[in-house]
Amino acid sequence: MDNKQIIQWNIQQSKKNIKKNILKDRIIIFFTRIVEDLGKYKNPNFYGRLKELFLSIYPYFDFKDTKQIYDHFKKLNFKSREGLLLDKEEIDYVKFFINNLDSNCKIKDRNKVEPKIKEMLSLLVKKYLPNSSVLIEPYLLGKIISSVGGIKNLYRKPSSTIQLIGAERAMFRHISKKKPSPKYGLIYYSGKIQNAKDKGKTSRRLANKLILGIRIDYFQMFAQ
Amino acid sequence: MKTRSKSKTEEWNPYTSKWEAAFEKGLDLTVNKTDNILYLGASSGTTVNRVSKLTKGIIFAVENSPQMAINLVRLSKKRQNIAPIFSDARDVVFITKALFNKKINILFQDIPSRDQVEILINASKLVSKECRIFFSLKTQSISQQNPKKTLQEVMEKLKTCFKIILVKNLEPFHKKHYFLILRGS
Ligand SMILES: C[S@@+](CC[C@H](N)C(=O)[O-])C[C@H]1O[C@@H](n2cnc3c(N)ncnc32)[C@H](O)[C@@H]1O
Repeated sequence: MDNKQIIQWNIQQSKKNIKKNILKDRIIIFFTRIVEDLGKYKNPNFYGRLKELFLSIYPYFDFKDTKQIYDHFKKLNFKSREGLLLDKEEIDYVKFFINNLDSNCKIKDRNKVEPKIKEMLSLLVKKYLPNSSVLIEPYLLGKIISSVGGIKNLYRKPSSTIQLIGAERAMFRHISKKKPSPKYGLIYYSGKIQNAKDKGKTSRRLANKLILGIRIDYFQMFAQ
Repeated sequence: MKTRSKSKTEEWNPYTSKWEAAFEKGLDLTVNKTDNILYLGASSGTTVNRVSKLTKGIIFAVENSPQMAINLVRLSKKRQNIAPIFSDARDVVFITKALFNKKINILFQDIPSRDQVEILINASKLVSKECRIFFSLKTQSISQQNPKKTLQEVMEKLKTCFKIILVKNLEPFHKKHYFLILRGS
């Protein structure tokens, strides 16, 4: 093989193996972040989120101008050999979202769209995380996954870490300013903890169960 | 023979690149025109891109983070001589395949992990005795103890496999980093 062929072989091989690392958690993270943005801002624009999703589907696409992302999505056929492959239902979700954006990538009719998005997110989480999503609210599970950047970064973590995901700032205060150490992170917002008398103990127990569920879901639904 | 090419638009930056920091510290990192380079820990390819312009040979860039490797693949499509290898640097079986028996003239490693020395020793199986080896050592990834003490321990290990040609700390560009030039023995 000459140099050119060697380089081509490596590019193809890398693409093939990278694709195996682009998992369906991307679509969960996409909708989780949209719901998060909607909670934080009055009328956010979704250029950045659309770009992230577009690059999951077409990782090697070269944008001339990211402002055109909206037009790209309108034309998108969602058939990708190099990135994330969505099923029919997921494509419909994404299309629903895009069709409800104006050309500034802002949602046109928020009152109508937001509940639908939350429902779609919930369905996606339940579909790909059937074991862990019965333990905690789907949106919180989505947030846990998105805050560590994906399920692959999550399933190997010990339950003590799971318990504290989302409490990084409190942890930092604990270390740098000798404030009390945080007992819980995102899972604190789960109904189970909110209603519990002993919140520390309950959150520990929930984290223990949750990580087992997440591991099962990872191996059943994501691992190749 | 060139050591680097400097253009106004793409300044080398010793604060982001260990290679450039070592160069600034006066180490001889000469790249010959036909050298093939095996680069472990390529990240998104900032330094790889610059080094690739010094040779007509192939620069094999190994990286194990998918997001970084995507950027590497993008880069390799724009340049002529970068072969991206999405792999763990510890997987010498796969990397052997990816090298297609190309003779490697320079092995460079910039992987700040706890077992960075073991990774280097393992990877040196991929190259011949004449290969020049550049090793960027981040002591903090190995131990929180005094960097000099870590360096001593690392050198003891390295001596069993390599000749140590030169050692230099990378202050002020990178704290608690050393750059070592080695050769097979
Ligand atoms: C300090 S950065 C390298 C920066 C790069 N040399 C430059 O100057 O642009 C280290 C890189 O090594 C990668 N890495 C860490 N462990 C690795 C492994 N076992 N195999 C391959 N790459 C690894 C990380 O993902 C990271 O991108």
